[in-house]
Amino acid sequence: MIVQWCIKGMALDGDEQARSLIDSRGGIHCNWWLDVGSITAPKIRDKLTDENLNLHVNHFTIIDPGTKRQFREITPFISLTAGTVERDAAAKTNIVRRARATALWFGTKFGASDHAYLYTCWVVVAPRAAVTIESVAEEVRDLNTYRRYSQFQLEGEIIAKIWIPDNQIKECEKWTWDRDGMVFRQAWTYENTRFTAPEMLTNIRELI
Amino acid sequence: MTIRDLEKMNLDLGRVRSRTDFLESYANTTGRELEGLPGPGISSERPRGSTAGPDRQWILTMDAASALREAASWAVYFDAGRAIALLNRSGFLYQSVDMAFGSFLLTVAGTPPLDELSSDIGLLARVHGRASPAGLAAIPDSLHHPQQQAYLLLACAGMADKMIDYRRPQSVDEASRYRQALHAIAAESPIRQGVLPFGSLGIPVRIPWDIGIHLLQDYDSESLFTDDPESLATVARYLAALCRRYAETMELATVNDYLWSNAAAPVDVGDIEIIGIAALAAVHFGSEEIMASVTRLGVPTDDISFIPLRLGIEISERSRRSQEP
Repeated sequence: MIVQWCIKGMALDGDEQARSLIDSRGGIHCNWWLDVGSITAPKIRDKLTDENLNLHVNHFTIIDPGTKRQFREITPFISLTAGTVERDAAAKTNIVRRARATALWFGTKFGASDHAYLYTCWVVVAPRAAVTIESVAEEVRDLNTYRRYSQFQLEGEIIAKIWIPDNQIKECEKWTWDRDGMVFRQAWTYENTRFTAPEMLTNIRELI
Repeated sequence: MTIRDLEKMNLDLGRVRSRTDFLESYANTTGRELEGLPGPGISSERPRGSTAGPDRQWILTMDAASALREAASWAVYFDAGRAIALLNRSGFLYQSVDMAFGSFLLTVAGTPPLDELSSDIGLLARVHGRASPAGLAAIPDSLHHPQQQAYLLLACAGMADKMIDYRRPQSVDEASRYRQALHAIAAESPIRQGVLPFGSLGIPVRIPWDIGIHLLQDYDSESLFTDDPESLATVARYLAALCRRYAETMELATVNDYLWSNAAAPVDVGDIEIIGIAALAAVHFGSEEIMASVTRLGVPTDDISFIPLRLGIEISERSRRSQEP
């Protein structure tokens, strides 16, 4: 298993909502959970399928035939970004993409807003596809329609399932975009006091 | 008209401008972060999960260079002058971390690092096991990748074209000597058969390598003199095939309407490799000649497939005009 640091870029109504996402202790929920209000274990099993993952990655806004709603509104998955910065891959592709760049674009509503909220968190990623296992996140490598450098996973997209627990979220950062000055600035950082560092998952046992 | 090209692809000009501004702003922000890095041996607090030390400097440089490269690929649709400026900024950053892609971008932008042509040829010779005089600088790690060698070959071919000044007859001879030296290396390289993916379309690296070889042929569009009469036709065939592949890739990317319409699809809507090769071919063979040759191969001028060729020629023309006295 791999412990992967990620960023979730979000466009929220304001600072209060951004801070309450940490203060409420609820963590980050998938849109399906937010939509229905309460979920059950059997329903989670029904939702975590290869078919739904494909819809999340490639057809986010398609109308779901069962519910007649856009899939984005009822997806059980949560997209995160981890970036791609590996040297050998960069020599082949010329591209390094840090998680912050992608998170800011999504968090500013694709450039429509002058600010974004970025949540730094960690998830456990399975070394191979395991869509039906709720507790591990997926690396999107072979699933998407974009064949470009797929072996290098250029976008660094990680997909979590159902929710990201509160204690895996380290902090929230607010970034503002000064369009005239052509620069981003970090406005504030809000730490999560209940954060659990992933180092406790290390498989190294100390000598006693 | 390139803004019409955006309409053809169902992309909103406002969104494309915003994406360009965003990427340039992001690169500026990363640049500030880079300037604020402590010197060697000084510890500093860093974001959790991130890399420290020399790697951090490399990551920030590459991050800014990548953002500027992408910004240029969007700007080319509505402001060729801005695209050229962004390509230049990006190219210098890539060069600063020894990526030959930087020389390619600078050459495409019309400001090739001509004073490095001789040493670049020496590097290509050495990675191919040729002459290795003592006292030369180490070969950058990145240049051991065939993709970077291909970018360097294309850049050197473009540089040889750029150094020709018909008011100075000796410059023609000088360019010819460089071309011969490069041709001798390139013609025997195993990359001629290379299958590793190159560029945003993931084409086999042997294609840009062969294009580089054909751009090394002496060519004079006025007298139609060329060492290899097939060079123009060969480069045109490659470009036509690349343009068609580009159109297929864009069509596939539009399936995800959410990412596509929000300029978030992980494809190069302004394909820097095709644009760059088209720009170099326009300088070498002439804009009219390369455009006519590709059109004759059945690439319709009003189709999406024609867009990167037109953008490349526009970059080449704009760059030439800006350098005229």
